[in-house]
Amino acid sequence: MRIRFDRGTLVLEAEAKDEQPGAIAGVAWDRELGAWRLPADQHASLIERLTEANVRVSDELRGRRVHLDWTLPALRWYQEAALARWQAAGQRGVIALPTGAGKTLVALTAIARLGVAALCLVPTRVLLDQWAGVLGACASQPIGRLGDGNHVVAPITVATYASAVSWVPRIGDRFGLVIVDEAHHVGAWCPSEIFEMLVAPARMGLTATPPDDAGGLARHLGPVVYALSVTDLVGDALADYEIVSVPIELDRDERARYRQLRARFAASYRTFQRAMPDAAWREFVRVASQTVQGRGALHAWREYRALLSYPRGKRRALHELLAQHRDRRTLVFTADNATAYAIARELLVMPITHEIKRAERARALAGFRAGEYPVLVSSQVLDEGFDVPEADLAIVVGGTSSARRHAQRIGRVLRPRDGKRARVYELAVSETTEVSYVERRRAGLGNRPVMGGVS
Amino acid sequence: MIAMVYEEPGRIPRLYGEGDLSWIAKLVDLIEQSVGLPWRVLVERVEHAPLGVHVSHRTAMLQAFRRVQGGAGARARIARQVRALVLGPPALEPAERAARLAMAAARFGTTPEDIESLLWVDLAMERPVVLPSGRPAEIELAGLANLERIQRLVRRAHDLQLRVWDRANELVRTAQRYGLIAQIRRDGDTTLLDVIGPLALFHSTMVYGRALAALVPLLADHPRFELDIHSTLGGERVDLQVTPPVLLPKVKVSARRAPSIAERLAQELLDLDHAVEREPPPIASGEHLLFADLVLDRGGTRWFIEVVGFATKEYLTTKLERYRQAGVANVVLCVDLANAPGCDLETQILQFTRRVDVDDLLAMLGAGP
Repeated sequence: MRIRFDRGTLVLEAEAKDEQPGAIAGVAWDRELGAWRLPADQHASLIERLTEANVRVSDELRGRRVHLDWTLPALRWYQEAALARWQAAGQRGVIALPTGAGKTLVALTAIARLGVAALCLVPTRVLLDQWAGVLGACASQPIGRLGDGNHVVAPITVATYASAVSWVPRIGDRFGLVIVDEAHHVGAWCPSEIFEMLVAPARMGLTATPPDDAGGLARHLGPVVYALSVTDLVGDALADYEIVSVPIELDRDERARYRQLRARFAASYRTFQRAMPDAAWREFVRVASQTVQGRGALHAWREYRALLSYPRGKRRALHELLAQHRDRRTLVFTADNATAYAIARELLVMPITHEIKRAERARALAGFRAGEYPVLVSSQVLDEGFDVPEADLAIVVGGTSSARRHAQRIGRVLRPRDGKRARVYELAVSETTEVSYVERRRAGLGNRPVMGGVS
Repeated sequence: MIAMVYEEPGRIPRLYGEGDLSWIAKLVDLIEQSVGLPWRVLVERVEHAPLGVHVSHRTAMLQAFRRVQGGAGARARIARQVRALVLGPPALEPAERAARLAMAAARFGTTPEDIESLLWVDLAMERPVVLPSGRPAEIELAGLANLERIQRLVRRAHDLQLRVWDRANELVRTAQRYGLIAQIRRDGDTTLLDVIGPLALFHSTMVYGRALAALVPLLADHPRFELDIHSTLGGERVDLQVTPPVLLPKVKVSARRAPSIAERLAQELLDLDHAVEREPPPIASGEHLLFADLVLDRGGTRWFIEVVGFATKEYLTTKLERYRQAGVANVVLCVDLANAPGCDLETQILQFTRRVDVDDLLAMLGAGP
């Protein structure tokens, strides 16, 4: 039977009279081509099945072995353990290590030890640069890049998720190993279809925060085979740190406004919940947006969240903290872009958002390292893919209840450096919904003691 | 309190007409009142103003206003320069902040207030609302919003039919330049373009969708047409017929349009002293019309050359058959490899990537049909 790769699938064609591709489980008939197709990720199991059935196979898929010289540092104990578990799991699975623990080195060692062509998938252009830079420094051949205007395919290639979607149908047969950075995005930001179009039998996912429901991840990459939390590595592979909780009081007029807005929203939401107890938030938004009353409730909800995101108390606390720590490299995290811009406007510091384009962002990050921009403010962009060991102070002005996002944020200041002790200030408005948000997101950090507030 | 239900937007997009101009005028009033304030304030005001229309219509009109403004590239350059000069360590004291703005103002020869607004002039919700060309006309906003709505549906179309009563050649040539997969035929006193949509193509759907959407603005110049779009939105089938009178913005013809692949090929042949006729008259094949891009006279034989952008195997086979039925044997279809996967027919097809190679074409003609 002849097997070839075409547009992200395997095309199966009979070469002998008694061969029946249509009898193979999972195949689909392509009327246009007049042939049977199978998802490319079924390649290994297909060959196994055909071999067992004594079918002679003409496999046209390209050879995926490569011979490169690698210069890699030795793995630390937990990196070696993670790689061993992944090997034992059939070279498939997800490795969950905290930000700054050296997940990239685990992946590079896997590529070197397997000696196969590898495709590394990353979510952002910043990470594309970082991965290509690290790989280029360790491997003896040029590294391919797909994304951010680059269209070079090589035995070792780094691609953004977005570029992979359009490239994998053409090159999905060239790799023996696929590495997915920030693998918790698989199934959402990183579409599952990519993995169905890849022949690569060996698959490794890297994340600091595996999702609670890892079903999609397990299907395409394998189960979580090794996991350590921040607490496991603090003082060893990660910088030691402390969390300082800063309670914020609303001013009298803000408190009155918060109560008024919250009551207006809660009245509508309670009525809706009584009528439709199982409905999701999205359904409430849909129903509410059709009436004046509902639109008023949504408006009140947005207003009180905007009020909590940066009230006068947070503004005063932020100024005081920045004044106290003038000599430290500080990341300020906000709940939304509007607050990030408000802080940037007020203090004339650099905001990092999706609207700040790549070149300017790269200059800002270089300036942060050099001390020219000692403070960066961001709502989401710095959550992932920011590798600056100089950062040692985080001020969380606002955020969601997501434990995963919070762990990613804290991880930004935990990259190790000699004698470094990081500090995280977490601002939360007392007696508001923000307090429960803070409690929920802290769950992602394990049992880390939290210091009391500063005045 | 009795809840007032606004019109809920249906799956079929509503196009705006004369009857909408009164609420659009109120919205433009809000725009005028928001000049100098950040866009997010304008958005908030528009969202909560008593305009009596659903939020989706307000959003559509604000998007149209953004298109009227334009100039994003220039704004981005200025904002980057100002930010590089002004942003740095936190300015915790008012005097420190004022001094930094004043220094930048002196460098740019403007005021600190201008510097403040220039800092964020490229950010969608932070930049100030401005009206550099005065109050926008309600009818212009309605036209732009209609254009956006029709184009959105076209980008999600399975197929569409466009019937025009006059000046069909211009539309057909544009469709060809964009490489659309279209069957063209005469139907009484009309010309009918049957175009397959991106959702029926299965590859390069976004690129194809953009190309197809570029046809819509050309309809503004046609006094009589019928555009039938068969599309899918949110998993449901949506059919829309657009006929005049419909408000659409006037087409701005760009004098600096890049030459098409066919135009470049013709020029290269002319440069080699070949006799070339560009855009020859349409060839009738039964009820269908064929539009070759050029005719090349080679040793007294006229060769019809057509550059095909997007294609399927069936489309190319049909096209060749129609040329044959019209009595034209000397024809070559130049097919873009990137947009026509699996179209490796054996005869009369010259495959290319990015540009048609003149040498390959001449070699093919030398071999004969």
